[in-house]
Amino acid sequence: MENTADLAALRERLSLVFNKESYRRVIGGKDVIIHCHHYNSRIQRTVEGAAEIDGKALITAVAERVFCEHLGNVLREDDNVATRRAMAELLYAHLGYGRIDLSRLAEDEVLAPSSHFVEGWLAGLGRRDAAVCSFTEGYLQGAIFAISGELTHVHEVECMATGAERCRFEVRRGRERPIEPIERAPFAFEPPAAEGFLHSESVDEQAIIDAVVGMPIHGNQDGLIPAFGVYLANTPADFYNLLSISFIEEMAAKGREKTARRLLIEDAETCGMNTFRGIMNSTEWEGLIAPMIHERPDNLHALVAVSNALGWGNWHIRQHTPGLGLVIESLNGYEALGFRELRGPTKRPQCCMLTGVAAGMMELVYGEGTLAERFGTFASTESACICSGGQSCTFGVERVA
Amino acid sequence: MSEAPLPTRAPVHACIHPQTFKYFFHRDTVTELWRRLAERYGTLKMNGAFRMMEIEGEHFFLRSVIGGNPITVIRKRSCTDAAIAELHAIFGYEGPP
Repeated sequence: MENTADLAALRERLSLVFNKESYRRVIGGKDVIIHCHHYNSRIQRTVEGAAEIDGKALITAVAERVFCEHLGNVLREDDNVATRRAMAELLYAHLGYGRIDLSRLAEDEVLAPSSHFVEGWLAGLGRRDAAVCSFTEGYLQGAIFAISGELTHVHEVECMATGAERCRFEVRRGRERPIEPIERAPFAFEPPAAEGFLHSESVDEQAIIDAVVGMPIHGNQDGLIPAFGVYLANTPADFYNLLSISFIEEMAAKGREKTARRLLIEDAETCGMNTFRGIMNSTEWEGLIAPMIHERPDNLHALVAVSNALGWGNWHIRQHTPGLGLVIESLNGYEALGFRELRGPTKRPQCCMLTGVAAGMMELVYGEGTLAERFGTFASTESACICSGGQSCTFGVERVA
Repeated sequence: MSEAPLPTRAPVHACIHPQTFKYFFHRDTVTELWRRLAERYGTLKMNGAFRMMEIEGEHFFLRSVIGGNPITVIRKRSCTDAAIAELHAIFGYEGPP
């Protein structure tokens, strides 16, 4: 049996690089965005729930493209097969997706004793009859190709979300369709200076960012990241961008583009409320941030700082009327820059995630009642977007109810 | 000297598990309580940046700001009634599981 390279040496290849100017988090040469199980499971439900398209196939295809490339970034030419497998297991766990066991790959079987997607689905959406690990199927297809150059179909045959003891995947060989490479056109973009934005006197945004960036946001022994009262995961921006773009394009081909955009924005709005509610109720918030909160708007400033540390887009508050309105600008949002690189310039704004989250934050900070009662009480519009020629992406949020 | 009052708890809208609660203790009891929790469930870890302390057990996370009170119990999916009953016995909490 071949020796595996030292695990600590492999981990070093996955060290986080945080760019203080752009707020970008980079792992293994890819920008990663931290989202929680709420967002990830809701996006999956939206894409897979659209009757007009094969959403499950879409998620699997995007994941295999992204992680074939991501693993390619962290593997070295002289890595033997055992090391390549170990790296594939490690990357999956490090990013917070859970654990996969590739030791039975030769027998066409992969086991997964823990899963971000199962935890997320069960915590947020409840038990269901079908398997939920579409993302993992795609990850495995991309990983197997990166390990051995072999094209496969991976199919989940048992899933913990349906009551199985662990998730089990079958590897089906003999596939001929190649993995589609990710084509990008480099886009040189210089973000404007972060000047003229509003700040709270009592919220130390830099202290919050430093604390979050200093957190070990990588998988624990189960490959999960339970922090801020939610399960977090580091997901390449490429994954979210390709999934959103492909979903909108496929829905547009069926005459449902407007619906697709609305669904993605609603997912982000819900996520904004749920994720940030979890964060605001967390011990981490209580320990560091709550002492900084003197007035209600301080919550908003603190949430923006947290989201910037999570890699969401270097956004800052331009105007704010407490309880009524917000103008917030993202200087280098991953959705805009990603779209620009993947599809080129366009006439319409593309940042569904930030659009929805902007409304969700206002609903959480200023709304009353349950989250369901708060939903839709603020409306958010992206009035300018980098990928349609804007210097930044600008979101206007207004109370509507 | 009168005995410390029994702990109370309040629900927390943490998203990992719907049955997440914050337990409130008499301040004189928490140091000894955390010692017992560490003895039973594992190493106490401190996060200075967030002024937070945590023990991760097999069935739940125990978290608090430094000082140790209140304690948030975030259950894992694997958590059982028996595990909660044992934790409640250590807490001295006599309410529902």
